[in-house]
Amino acid sequence: MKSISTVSWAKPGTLRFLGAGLLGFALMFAADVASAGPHQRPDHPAAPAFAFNPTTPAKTKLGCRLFFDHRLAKANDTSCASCHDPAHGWTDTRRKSRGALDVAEARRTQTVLGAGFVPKLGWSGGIDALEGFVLAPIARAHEMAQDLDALVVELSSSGDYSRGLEAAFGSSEVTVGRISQALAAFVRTLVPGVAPFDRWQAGDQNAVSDSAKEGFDLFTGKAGCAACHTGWRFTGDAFHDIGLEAGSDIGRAVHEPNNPLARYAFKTPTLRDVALRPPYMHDGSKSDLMDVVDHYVQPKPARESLSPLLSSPVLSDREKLNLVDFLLTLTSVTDHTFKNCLPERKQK
Amino acid sequence: MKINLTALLAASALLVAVSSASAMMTTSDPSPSDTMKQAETLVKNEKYGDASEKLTMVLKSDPQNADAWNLLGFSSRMMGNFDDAEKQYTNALKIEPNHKGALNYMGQMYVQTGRLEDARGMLQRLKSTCGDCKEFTQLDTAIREGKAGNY
Repeated sequence: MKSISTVSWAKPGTLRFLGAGLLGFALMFAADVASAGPHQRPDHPAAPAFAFNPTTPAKTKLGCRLFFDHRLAKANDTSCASCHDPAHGWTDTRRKSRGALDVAEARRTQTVLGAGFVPKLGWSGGIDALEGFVLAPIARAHEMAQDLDALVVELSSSGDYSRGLEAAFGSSEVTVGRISQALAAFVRTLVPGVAPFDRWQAGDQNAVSDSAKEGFDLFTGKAGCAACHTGWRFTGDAFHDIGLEAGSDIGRAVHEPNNPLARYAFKTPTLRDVALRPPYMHDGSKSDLMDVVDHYVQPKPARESLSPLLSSPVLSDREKLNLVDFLLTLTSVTDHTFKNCLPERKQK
Repeated sequence: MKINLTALLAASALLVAVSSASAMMTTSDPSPSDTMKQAETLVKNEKYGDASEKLTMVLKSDPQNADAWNLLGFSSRMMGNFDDAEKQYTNALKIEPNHKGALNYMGQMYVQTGRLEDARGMLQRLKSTCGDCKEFTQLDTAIREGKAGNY
């Protein structure tokens, strides 16, 4: 990880000593503006929606029901939540995702937490719209293996969604487009909650430990993590080869074959709620956060695609613990036992 | 020699004016067709932002240019601006309802955004416009891939 210099926005007033005059005034103004910090969670973050699919409560409710409905899989045995489990940070605990064929895929299941903010979705960024993204696993033979037209027939004949569809779209007609739009609307509501880190940034000095505070300084400084893990979601949404074992999965290069840096490059994941989501990395090769930190400290294989933002910072054992302590503060304190939206079974 | 400052200033001003006029005469703006060609090249090189600027220039002088609207829609789509793309393809199809490129690309945009039924609508329009033409085949393939989860 490359070491980057950062404005000490976490310590408001640091720049004020720089003196009087116009330059000093400008710098003070900049420091005040930045005092919220680039990693500070907005008060009411809302994932942007396309004009063709505005997020509404009725659509979100419908999408939530669909998300937990096992009928979305061909075998009626898997829902979106089977792999994107809210109790595990909206992913699962497997190293590699497994679908209808029960064969391990090349990559780990990604979290859908905050997916509404992601411009290019998937580990290699092959999908630009959440509405397309939510259909892909339903239809893919290796995942839920559903025939989308058959799904429309199945849900239409059940009539279970008639009222929800009426409320969301104005008629009870089931279409692939409506399934996709309702699911996307629901996923857009999966916004990372307030974490101890946010309370610390808002001024509560007791919200995180001293070790975590030191970890944050390392994260934004010497360890260089913030070169890629930027913004309030702690991701720049870019693709990097971080030196993991290279296999047949070439990552972003599928979409950017002429970009040497795209080979073995995968999406930088969000670190929000990261403690809930082991194992880590696109290939699930790191079992805990200390393994992750160790990876960045170790020398990397020499290859052309390796991200220039990577370095191998020298960190003591204590500093590595500081980093892990900081990462733990990014997990929200909301109730992670999300209640699904399926109606209770009718009593016969 | 005594220099008349007023005369010197007047001469300088005249020189600047003549130079400017000369420059204006020798530097002509590219024609809309040249700009369109530049935009096409930029799209081929995946410079969609730059292409959009050129296409906007073309459309300022020729707002009924369906090809330009179609290419602008394509550029917007490639940049993930699906709402803009939809409006721009719609403009192209208002001007030229049987525009094969716009029908194809708008259908592909519908696939990308999960609207399979709308994509099939575009496919039907292509079928009646040009039968099994290249655009029809491309969109048909995109719909099949989308339906298989290969977005």
